Amino acid sequence: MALSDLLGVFTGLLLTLFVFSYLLGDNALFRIAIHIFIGVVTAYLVVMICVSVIWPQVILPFFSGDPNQWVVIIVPLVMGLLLLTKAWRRFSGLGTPVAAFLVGVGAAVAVGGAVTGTIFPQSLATINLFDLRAIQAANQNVPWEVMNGGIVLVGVVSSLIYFHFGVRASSSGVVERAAWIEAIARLGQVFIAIAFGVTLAGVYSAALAALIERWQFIVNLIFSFLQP
Amino acid sequence: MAEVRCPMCGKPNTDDLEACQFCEARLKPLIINQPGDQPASSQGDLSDWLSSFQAGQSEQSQPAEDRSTGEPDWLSGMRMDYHSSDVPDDEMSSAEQGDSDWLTRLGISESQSESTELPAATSGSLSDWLSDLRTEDQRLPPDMSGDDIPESEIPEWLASPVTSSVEESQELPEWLSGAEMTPQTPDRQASEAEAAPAGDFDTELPDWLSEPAAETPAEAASQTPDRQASEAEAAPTGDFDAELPDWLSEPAAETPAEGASQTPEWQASEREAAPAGDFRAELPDWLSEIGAEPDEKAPQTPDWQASEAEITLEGEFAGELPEWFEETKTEAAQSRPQASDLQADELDQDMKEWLAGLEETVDEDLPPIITGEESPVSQILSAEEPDWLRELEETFSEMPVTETPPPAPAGPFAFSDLGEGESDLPADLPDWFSSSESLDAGSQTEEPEIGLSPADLPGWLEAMRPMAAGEIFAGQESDAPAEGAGPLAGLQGVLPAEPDIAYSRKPPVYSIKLHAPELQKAHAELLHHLVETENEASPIPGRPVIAPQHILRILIALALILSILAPLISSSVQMALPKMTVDSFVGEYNARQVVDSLPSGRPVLVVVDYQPGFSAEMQSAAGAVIDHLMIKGAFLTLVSTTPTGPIQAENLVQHVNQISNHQYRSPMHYTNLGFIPGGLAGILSFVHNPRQTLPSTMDGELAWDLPNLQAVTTIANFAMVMVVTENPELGRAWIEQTHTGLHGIPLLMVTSAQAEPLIRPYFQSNPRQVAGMVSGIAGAVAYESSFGRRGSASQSWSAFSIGLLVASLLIVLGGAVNGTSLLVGRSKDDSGSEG
Amino acid sequence: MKLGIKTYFLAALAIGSGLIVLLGYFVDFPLLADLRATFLFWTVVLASFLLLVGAFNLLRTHLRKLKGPQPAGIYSLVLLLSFFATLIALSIEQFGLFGASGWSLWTMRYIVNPVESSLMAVLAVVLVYSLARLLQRRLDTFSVIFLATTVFVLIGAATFPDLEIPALRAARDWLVQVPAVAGGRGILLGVGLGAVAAGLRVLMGADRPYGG
Repeated sequence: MALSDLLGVFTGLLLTLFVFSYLLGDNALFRIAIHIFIGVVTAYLVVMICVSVIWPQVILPFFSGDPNQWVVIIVPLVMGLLLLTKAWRRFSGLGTPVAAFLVGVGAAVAVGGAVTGTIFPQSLATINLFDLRAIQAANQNVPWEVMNGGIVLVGVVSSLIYFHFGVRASSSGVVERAAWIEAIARLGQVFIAIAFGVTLAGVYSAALAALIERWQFIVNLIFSFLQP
Repeated sequence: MAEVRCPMCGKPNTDDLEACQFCEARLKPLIINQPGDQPASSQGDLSDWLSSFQAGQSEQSQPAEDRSTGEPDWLSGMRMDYHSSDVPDDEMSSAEQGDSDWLTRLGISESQSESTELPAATSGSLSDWLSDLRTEDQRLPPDMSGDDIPESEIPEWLASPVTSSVEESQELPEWLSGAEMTPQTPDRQASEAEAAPAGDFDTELPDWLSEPAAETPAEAASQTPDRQASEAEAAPTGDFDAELPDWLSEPAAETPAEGASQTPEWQASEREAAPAGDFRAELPDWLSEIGAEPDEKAPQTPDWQASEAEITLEGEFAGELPEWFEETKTEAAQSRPQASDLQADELDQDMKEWLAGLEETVDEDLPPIITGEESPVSQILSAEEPDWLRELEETFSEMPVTETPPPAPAGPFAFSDLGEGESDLPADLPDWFSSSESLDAGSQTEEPEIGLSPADLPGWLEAMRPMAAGEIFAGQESDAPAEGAGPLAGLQGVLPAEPDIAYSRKPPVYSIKLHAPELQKAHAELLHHLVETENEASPIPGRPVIAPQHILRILIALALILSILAPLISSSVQMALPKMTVDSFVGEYNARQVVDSLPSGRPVLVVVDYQPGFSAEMQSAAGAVIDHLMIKGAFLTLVSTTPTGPIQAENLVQHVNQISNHQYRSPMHYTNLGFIPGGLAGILSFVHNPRQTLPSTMDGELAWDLPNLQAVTTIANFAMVMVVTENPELGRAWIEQTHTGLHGIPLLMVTSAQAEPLIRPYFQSNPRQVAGMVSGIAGAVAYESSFGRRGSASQSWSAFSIGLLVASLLIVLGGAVNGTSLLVGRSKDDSGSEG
Repeated sequence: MKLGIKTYFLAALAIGSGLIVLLGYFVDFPLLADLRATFLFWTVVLASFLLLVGAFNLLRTHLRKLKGPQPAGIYSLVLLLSFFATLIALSIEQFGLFGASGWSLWTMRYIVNPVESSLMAVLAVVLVYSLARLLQRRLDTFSVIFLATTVFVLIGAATFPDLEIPALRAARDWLVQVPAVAGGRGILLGVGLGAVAAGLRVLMGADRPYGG
C-alpha cells in the first residue's frame, strides 16, 4: 500500500470513528469531523466551478481571439459581476435585476418540466392502465391488471384529494372539510402511508449499505495489518 | 373703540353694540321709561339723596377702580356710565352728609331686638320714596333720616304718589331704574364698603342688580312693584330670574305653599325663584343672615325689610342694591356673631327715629298700598315681624350656605357691610317694602296696581320684550342647583361656571390602591415573575452520561454491527442471492434488456448525481450497470449536476475497474465533462445544447472534439442516458427535462431504494418515460446475477440481507413491546377514569 | 400599495425571460429556440457566480465566528483550514503543478466519503431505534400501516439461506408496484401541480421573490 493510501486509510478510519462517536452523543470529535467535511466540500465546489464553468466559458473566450465569442460572453460576465454584489448588503441592489432574470428562467423551466414531464405523462399513464390492448399485448392477466389499475387509480385520486386542504365553515361553526372529501382523504392517507413506508425501508437499506461499507473498510484494514 | 364685556357670556363686544354679538344679550341695561318720561339717564332732576348717592359713588369710584382690578368690563362700564352722568359733583357732595345720616338711621343694628315700626308720621314722607320703590326707576333717597329729614328735603319721588312714578322714574336711583350704574354709597357706607373687598362686590353683584341689559327700559319703567311682584309670580324662572339673585327669586319657588301666609306676593315670588344654594352666594350680608341662622327670637322685622329682600328688580336695578336694602335684617340675624363695623346701636336708634318720622308724615292721601294695612309702610310700622320675613328666614335657614355671601354692594343705599345677622334697615319697614313685586320686565302682570296705571307698551316694544327668566327656565327642574356666581347667578340648570370642587366642598380623595380580585392579583404576580425571569438563564438540568435511550441505541448498534460482521468476517454465512425474473425485479429486467440492446462503442451519457454518503449503495447499484456497459464497450460520458459529482463519477469508474477488472481510461473509454451548474436550467441547457454548456472536460481538453463525441450535438445523439442518483427530485428533474429531448433514446434510472417509490411511476407509465430502473442493493444483485457477474453488491449481499432481517426483528420487537405497553397504559387510564 | 417603476422593470424582466423559455416547451421556432438556448446558457454561467457568492458568504461567516466564543471559533478554524488546504491542493492538481495528480480523488476517497458514509451508517442505527419506539409515541391506524409496510418491504427484500418464499417476494413486489406507485404518483402529481402554481405566480408577477 502506498504511503498516500496508508495515510488516507488512517485518515478515513479516524474520521469514521469520530462520526461513530455520535452514537454516544454529540461531542467535539463529531463536530470536528463535520467541519472538516464542510470545508473540503466547499473547496471542491469552488474548484469545480472554476474548472468547469468560469475558466472555460468566461475567461478562455477572451483569450481565444474571436470577437464573436466576446459578444456572447460579455453579457453573462457583466451579469455575473453584478450578481457578486449580492454578497454585500450595501451593493446588493445592483444584482437584483440579475436575480429577477434567474427567477424568471427558473420558474419557466420548473413549469415547463412539470407540465410536459410529469402532469401530462402521469395522468396519461393512469388512464392507460385500463388499456386492454396494451395489457393483452404484454401477455398479462387482464382482470388482474385492471384490478391493479383500479387500485392505482383510486390511490392516485385519493392521494391528490388528501392534499386538498380547502375547508369551509359548517352551520355549527366548525371549520372542516366536507365529509365525503374527508373520507376519500383518509383512503388517500393509506396509500401515502404505504408509499412512505416503502421509502423508509429504502432509506434504511441505503444506510445499512453504508454501515456495511464502513465496517467492511475497517475489517479490511484490520485484516491488512494482520495478514502478512 | 372701547370694549364691553357681555354680562351673559363674558365675551368682549364693541361699545357701540346694544346686544352681544355672540349670545345676543343686551350689553346695556334697559331704562324703562313711562310715556313722557324723561330718559333714565337724565340726571338733571336728581334729588339730593340721589346726588349724594352719586357723589358717594364717584368718591368710591376711584378707590373702587383701584380695587376692582378684576371686575368685569361690564361692571366697569356701568361705573363709567354712571360717572358720566350729569350729576353735579357739588350736589353729590352736598348730600353726602345727609346720606350718611339717613342711611345710618336706616341701618338695623344687631342689638336691635324688636322690630321697629315706622312712625306713622313718617309714612307720609316715607311713602313717597318708598312708593317710588315700586317702580323700577324709583330711586330711594340716600339720606332718609326720618325726623331729621325736613319735608322739603324729601325727594319728590318719595313724596309723589306711586302713580306718578313714570315722571319720577327719571329721579329714581339708577339701581331702581335699571341704569348701568354702580351703586353709590355715602361716605360712611363707602368707608364701610371699603372694608369689604370691592372685588367681591363687583364680581358678585347680584344679577338683578348687574343685569339691566336684558330688560327693556320702557317695560321696566312701566311696572310697579305690585305688578312686578305679580310678574315674578307668573314667571318665577323667566328672564328676570336670570338677572335676579337667587335670594330674590328662589324663595318664591321653594315656598309656594308658604305663600298662604301673609307673605306678599312679591316676596313669595322671590322665594320661588331663588334657589337655596345660590341665593347665599349673592345674598347681601344683611339678607343672607336672615336665612342662615334662623332665630325664633328674631325681631319682627318690618315687612318692608322682608319685602326689600324679595324685591325682584329688573336689570336696571341690577347691580344697584340700595344700601338700606342691604341693611334689612331681622332680629334673628342680629344673633349672628359676625360683627359689623357699623355701630349697630346707632343705626337702630337712627332707624327708629327715621321710621317714627315716617309715620307722622304718612299722608292719608297716599294710595292704600302705601297706607293700607298691607302696604309696605304698614308692615314696616308693624311691630311684628312680617310673615314674609319670617318665612324668608325659615327658607334661608334651610338653604345650605355654599359660599359666604359677598359683602353688600356699595350702592347708594348700602348701609354697611354688616355681615350676617345684621341689618341696617329698621325693623319697621313699610309694608310696601315687603310686598314689592318682581320687577320682571319680561312678564306683564295682570293684576291692576292700586294707584298705578299699567304702562301700555307699544306693540313693537312688547315684541322686543325678552323672555322672563322664569319663562325660559319654566321647563327646567326646579331642583337643579342655581348658579351662585357670575352673570348667570340665580339661574337654574345652567352649566356650572366653576366646577363644583371650586366651591367649599372638599375634593374627593380617591384611593390610589388598586382594588383587584385575588385571582387577578395572582395572575399579575405570575406575569411579573415571568417578565423578571425572562432574561435569566434557567439552569440546565444535568443530563446523565448514559441514559436509557443511549443504552438502547448502543444495543441496537451492537446488534446490527455484529449481525453484519459475521458474514464479512466469515464466509460461512451466505444468504441466497435474489433472482431476477420477468415478474420480479421488472425494472432491472428491463434495464438489462436496454443495455443488451445497445450497440457497442456508442457514447452513453452517465449522469452521476449522488451524494458521497450514498456511495456504498450507489456504487454497488451503478457498478452493476456500468460493468455491463463496460462489457458492451460503451463510451461513457460522465456529467454531474452536483459539485462532488465529477469526483464521484471518477471514483465510480475506478471502483468498477477495480471490482470488475476493467481498464477503462480517460479519454479513451470515458470522459468526464464535469459539473453543470444551474439545476433544472443547467439540465435543460445541456439537453438541448451540450456543447455550449460543457465545452471541455475535467482534464481541460475540448470534449466535443473526441472521436466518440464528435457526432453528439444534443442529448438525443447518445445511445442511452443513465442517471445515477439517490435523490428522487434530481431523478424527476432529469426525467422531466429530457422527456422532450430524448426522442426515443432510452433513459435508465439507477436509484437508491429510497427513491424507488417516486421513480417507479415513471417506469410504470404507458408510454414509459423510464426504460428501466435499478434500485438499491437488491436490484443491483439481481442485475449482476442476471448476467453472471459478482460485483460489490453481491459481495455484501449476505451482510445486507442479515442486516435487513435483524432490523426487521428489532423493529417488530420494539413495536410490539411499546405498543403493548401503550395499550395497557390506555386501558388503565380508561379504567381509572371510569372508576 | 403603490409600485414603483423599479418594480415594474424587474417584473417585466422576470416575466419576459420566463415566457421565452416557457414557450420553447410548446413552440418549435428557430429564433425562439436560439434565444431560449442563450438564456439558458446565461443562467448556467450566472448560477456558477451564485455558487461562488454562497461559498464566499460561508467563509465570511466562519471568519466572523473566529472572533466569537472559543468553542465555535475552533470549529470555524478547522473549517477554514480544511477549505484552504483542499483549495490549494486541488488548484495545484488542476494546474498540474509539481506533478500532482489524484489529490482530489484521494480527498474524496479518504475524507469526504468516510465522513458521509459514517453519517449514513449512524443513520441506520437511529432509524431502527426510532422505528422501534414509533408505536410508543403514536399508536393509530396510519402509524401501524406505515410501520407494517416498512417491515414487510425489508423482510421481503431479504433472502434466507437455502430458503425461498416466492409468495413473500411477490407480495412485496405487489406492494411496491401497486399501492406504493399509486401513492407515489399522487405525490408526483401534487408536487407537479404545486410547481406549476408557484411558477405561474412568478411568471404573472404575483410573486416577486427577487425583491422590488
